[in-house]
Amino acid sequence: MVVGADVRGRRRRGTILAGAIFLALIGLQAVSMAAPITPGAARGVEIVRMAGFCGLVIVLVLRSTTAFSLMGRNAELDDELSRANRAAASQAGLIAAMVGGVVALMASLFVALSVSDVLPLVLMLGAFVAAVRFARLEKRGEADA
Amino acid sequence: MPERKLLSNLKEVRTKAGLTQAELAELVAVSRKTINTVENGVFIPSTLLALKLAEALGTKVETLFELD
Repeated sequence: MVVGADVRGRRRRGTILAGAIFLALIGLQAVSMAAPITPGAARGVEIVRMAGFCGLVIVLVLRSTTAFSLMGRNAELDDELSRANRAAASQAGLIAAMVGGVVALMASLFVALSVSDVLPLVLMLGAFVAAVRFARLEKRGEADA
Repeated sequence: MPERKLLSNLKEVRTKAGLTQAELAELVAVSRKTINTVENGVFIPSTLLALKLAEALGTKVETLFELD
């Protein structure tokens, strides 16, 4: 049973890491290639893209900072080490998002920035850093006994 | 005042008891990773976990952990 928890833990770490990389790629792509969205006149494809991006952010944040799972709580994957790792990941994600917000605010003094320019980057930064931090912390202790 | 660190004798006591990390983890209902990180000093266990480990190994918390 404990060996199974090791495998599940590694799988969880890999999934979160893959999700974080994917989020970074689509987030950066969206920022570099997106045409401005006209409020109230967004195209269907823009709505779908935005919904997908938000969904990915929410899933990543939930998986790396909370014990939320659709499959129900797994006591072996939610022990005190994982809780400590999630707390550290939350802290790192929050700080990263704050720094991103501060940088964007300062940049707005020199460059015209809209909400749709800044928010995706701030959300992506926070979720990405939290997910990567969690994955790195979870990697500790995976060495063989 | 210099900060004192926690020294872990968990690995020695566990080995003497003939248990693997996985077996001990199952006894105290945590993951093997948690046992590994406690043994390596990477993670400081809570009071509850320390008591559970001591009980599972039939010893006292002071035998498992000490201040340097």
